[in-house]
Amino acid sequence: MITFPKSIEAAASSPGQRRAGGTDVQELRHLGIRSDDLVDLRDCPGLDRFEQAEDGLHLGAGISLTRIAQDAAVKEQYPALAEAAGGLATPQIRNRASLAGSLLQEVRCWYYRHPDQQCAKKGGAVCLARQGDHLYHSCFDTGVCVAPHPSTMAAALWAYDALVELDDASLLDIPTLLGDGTDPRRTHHLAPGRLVVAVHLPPPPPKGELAAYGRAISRARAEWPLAELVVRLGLDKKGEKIDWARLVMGGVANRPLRLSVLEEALVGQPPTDETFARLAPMAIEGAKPLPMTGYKLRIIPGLVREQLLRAMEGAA
Amino acid sequence: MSRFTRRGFLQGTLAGTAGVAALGSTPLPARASSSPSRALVVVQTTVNGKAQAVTVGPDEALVHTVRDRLGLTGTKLSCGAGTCGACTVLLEDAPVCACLLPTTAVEGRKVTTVEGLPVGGRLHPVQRAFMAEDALQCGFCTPGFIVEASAFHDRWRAEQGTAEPSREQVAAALAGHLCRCGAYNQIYAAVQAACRGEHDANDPVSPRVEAREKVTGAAIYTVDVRPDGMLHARVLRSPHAHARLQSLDTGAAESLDGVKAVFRLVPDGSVVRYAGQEVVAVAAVDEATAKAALARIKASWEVLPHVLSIAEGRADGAPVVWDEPKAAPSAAEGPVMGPKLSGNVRGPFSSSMLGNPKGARKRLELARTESRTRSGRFTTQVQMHNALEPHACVAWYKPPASDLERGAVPRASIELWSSTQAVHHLRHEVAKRWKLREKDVRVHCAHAGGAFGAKAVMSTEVLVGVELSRLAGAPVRVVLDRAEELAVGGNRPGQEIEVEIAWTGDGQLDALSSEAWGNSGVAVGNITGMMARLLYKSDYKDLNDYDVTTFAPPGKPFRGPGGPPVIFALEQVMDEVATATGRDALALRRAWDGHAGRQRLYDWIEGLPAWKDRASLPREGRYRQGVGLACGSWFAFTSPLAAVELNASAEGIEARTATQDMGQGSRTVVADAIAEVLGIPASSIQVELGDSEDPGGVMSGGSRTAASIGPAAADAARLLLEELVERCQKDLAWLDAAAAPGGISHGGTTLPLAQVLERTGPLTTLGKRRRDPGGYFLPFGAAGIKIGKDLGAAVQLSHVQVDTWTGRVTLLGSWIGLAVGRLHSPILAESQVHGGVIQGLGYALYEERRLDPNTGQLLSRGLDDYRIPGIGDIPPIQVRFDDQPLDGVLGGGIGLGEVCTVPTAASIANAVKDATGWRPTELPIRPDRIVEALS
Repeated sequence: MITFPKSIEAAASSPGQRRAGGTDVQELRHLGIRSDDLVDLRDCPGLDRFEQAEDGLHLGAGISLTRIAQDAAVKEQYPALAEAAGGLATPQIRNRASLAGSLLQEVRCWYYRHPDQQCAKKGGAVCLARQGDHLYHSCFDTGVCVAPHPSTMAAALWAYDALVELDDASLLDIPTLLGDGTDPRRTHHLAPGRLVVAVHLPPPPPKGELAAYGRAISRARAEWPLAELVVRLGLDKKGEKIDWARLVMGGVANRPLRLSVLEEALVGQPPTDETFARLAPMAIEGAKPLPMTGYKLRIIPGLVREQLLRAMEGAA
Repeated sequence: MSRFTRRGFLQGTLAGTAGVAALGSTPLPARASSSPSRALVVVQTTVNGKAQAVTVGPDEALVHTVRDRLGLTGTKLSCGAGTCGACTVLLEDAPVCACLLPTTAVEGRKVTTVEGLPVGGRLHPVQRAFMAEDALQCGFCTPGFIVEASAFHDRWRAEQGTAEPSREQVAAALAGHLCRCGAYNQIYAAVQAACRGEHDANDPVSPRVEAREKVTGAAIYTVDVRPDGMLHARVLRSPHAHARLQSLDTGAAESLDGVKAVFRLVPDGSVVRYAGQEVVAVAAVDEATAKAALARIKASWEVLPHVLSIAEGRADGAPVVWDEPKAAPSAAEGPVMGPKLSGNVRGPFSSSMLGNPKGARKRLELARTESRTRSGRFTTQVQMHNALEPHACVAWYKPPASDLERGAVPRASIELWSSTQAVHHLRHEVAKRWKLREKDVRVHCAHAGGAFGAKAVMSTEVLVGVELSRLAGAPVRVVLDRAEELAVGGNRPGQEIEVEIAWTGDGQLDALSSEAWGNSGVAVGNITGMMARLLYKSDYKDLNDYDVTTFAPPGKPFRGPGGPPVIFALEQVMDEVATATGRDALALRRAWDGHAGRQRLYDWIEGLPAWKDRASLPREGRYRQGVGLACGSWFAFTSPLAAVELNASAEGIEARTATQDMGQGSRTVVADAIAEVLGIPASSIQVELGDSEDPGGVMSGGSRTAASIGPAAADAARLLLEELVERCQKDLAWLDAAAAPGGISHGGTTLPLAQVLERTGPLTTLGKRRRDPGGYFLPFGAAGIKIGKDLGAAVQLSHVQVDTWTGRVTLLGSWIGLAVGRLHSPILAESQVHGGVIQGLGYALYEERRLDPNTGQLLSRGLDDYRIPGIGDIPPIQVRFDDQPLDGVLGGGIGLGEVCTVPTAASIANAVKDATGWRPTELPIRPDRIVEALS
């Protein structure tokens, strides 16, 4: 069964799997991991908003990642969001993938996506990666499932304190949408019968920001991250001290991680490589690697330092 | 090689499980077909400017709609998961992956496929540029690249005029495309040239004769073949690495509407030996029905213990893969030589027959006490061939005619379209298996979308296709999906290799040993010591190869088979010897290397700034750089089966031979050889390949094709001229007639061939590959192959950067020199060398099969997880060919497809050591290994 609801109300109340760009949904269906009825959002109006509102920028759930990456206003006001949207997947995927789909996509775990493997996320008893090959999995143990959360956009939107607008006009922050990672079956916590219609970005900081997004990968491009990081910094007037910092890391736990301890430590420090090198190891506080993912603890500090330095390049 | 009695894949793996064809295989009665009730959606769209209405299921992907419903087969399905980009089309003006795009999404919108890019019959500038720059090899990824690059080009030109985009900008635009042949540098050049406006006006002459077919999507691959009434097959595979099939219930599958035949490959009570092994196949009216039928099959298994690694396989009490040693299939390029399998271990097979292994052991022992040796232990991963066109066939078993004349013998025949490296040999194998005369079997392969060694012998999709076709009475299409291709399509076995080198008091090579343990899954045939023998001169070599069988899919020969692994080991130990003996890496090799061609290439390396200025590279701080050197050798194989038929008439010149083009350029080699003799443009010659009924029959394997068919084609052309001159003299009474460039000279002028042929009438000649003047390494030639006295030689210098923070290794540049004599089709030769280097780069840094240790199932089953190099990973690669022809070889040159990939991983490893001080002993050199090693 497939339906093409013509309103947000109809789309929200139709049971089944929502499909926008289809870039993840189609693969899951080809693999036989999902086979429920389809609620295709093709004809649903109101999901393509791109509004500069008083409380910030509203991005419709259905707009493409390419548009986010290339839009001049996003680049200006939310630079790390634009960089993240343009730095994930491939040009063809970004042309098609929707903002909400990117938030709600499923994990890339090779056990989850294997048709013959019944992992905890698919209702099995245990996380098969945990006791099998988890070379590319988590190094922070935040729940049964050790597949890294797949959404780069979730990390970026969290770093900007974005709120997700649902069909009933309620607003969720990103951590609430994604949950705490303890339930292996849930990659997100959107309630059944609810539909994401937009994402609200708060107004940019009045004094601007320095920002960067980057990922550690083995090849040059187009690879799921070993670790990824969104960095935002605000400096004092003279540019000599860090006023505030926002760091959200992905690819290392079954949900993005906000690096609050490191953020606090950075405040008041001079924005220099010496500071970054000294404090970057705080990003791995609380990590609990699996037998095969200890290396990520060596990569993370380098990634943090690299992205802090890249953010500072904007100050030059 | 084709007629060696060898334990091919089928004879081993399948026959080993019992008499296959006799099983409960089921032709199904004809039945009124009614589609299963599905929600269908009518979609109105515009494709390539033409309004279309299609009725599709909710999940149908656009790639199937355009290919299967609209017949636009230029768009290729390869990974099926949005990673490789082969299926890229434009949705309005935006490139998207048609494999992930629901067809319902194109309602009311405009779609453009590669076929729709030309305007008014004029090619898009990007299509022209790909032709001009030889930016393609097998051509399977080409339509996707071209569609994406056309969108980039159009946008760029609108915004930037004729400015040249940087490599970085091109890489960003094409990041969603993968090319397995490695045409990336030519693709950079093509996109840049098109953006500079150099291809706005005219169609260029491509150095590759079939380039136009490939850039327009017109080239027909096996996956594009669609005879009327064709059925689609899907295969149920074992989910277990080792299990006994207790029972299989196919009843519910057989009763599904649209299912036409079911063919069992594993009988009840017998054993499967790897996850992914074929169990039962279904043919149905469409793929969806075949897939639905598989879901209805119930198998019950007794799961048995398995081993996956060399250590597990060798352990006491390990479950044994083969009770009957002879059942193990061959993973080698030739027959399996040497000892029999005992338990899971086979070996040692010694490659030291021409040396003195006992003496070598003694010398090494003594040298060790005098600290005159260096040694190392190395581990290499399993690498997959992963051609972008998967294993594929359309099989048509035609039963004996029922209306035979009295006395005629009823004979069945088989027509087979197969993505293969060997149309001729495959015909032989098929005829043998189904007990037919060879002339009753016909194999077609007009274009193969890459092969790299994995498609040399008959594999299971052919068995499945023919048997299902026989049962169903219709042609049957069997095409592996990417997960299947990665699981069972073929792999280069993983190895554990120990190498030791001793030097004499005066710094000469004293003795060399290698012990290689290969894990070819259920197969055997590890031949690596042979490759270690070829490089450095010494009578004292002790080279031993072992196989360990495990419950994993069989290895197959993969471009240079055991070469890249053992050279990875040997050439790193060589660098250690250089350090220990106080010489640089080049000086040591110069001193020990007896290959004259490589000695000349050392001169070239020595003059390169990358080599001369290596001391000034940064070796501290975050980014550390280094250079590494490595050598490789390969045999001079040729095939006496080569034969080329030339049909010349006033209408044109056509050449035919039963070989195939998998991207290496066979068509062009034939055309160029003929063109050179006749003095006409290669593009004016029509070359027909890929039909087993034509003369000749060169398998493409072992780097033999060009050096075999080139001289045969030249021979055909020379015969044509001789005959033409004779006819002119005899029939036309042109007593002064003589061959001249482009035609025949007579009466002081040269008449073009067409004019002469108009008067003489059509001519046909058959060119053969004559004996090589220099003779052979072995006095006899086993049918199908001869081993020449020369060795192909390579030396490669790689320049890398290691990011010590994130562990990424980047190849910044590579210089490879080859001594293979005169080149057949020089531009294509260079393209092929790039491909070898790029596959070597993947082997060095990214590619790795991962199996679930608990079940033996393949985890790296898509191109997200099986990582091949992308365009952004490719640096400029400089290729230098030694210009000395090899006078002992007809045509003056030997093959190069394999020697060019042999040294790459070793040179990169040596460069990483130079940059960081840490020697990589395991492949691939992943970020985790770098950061752990440098911490």
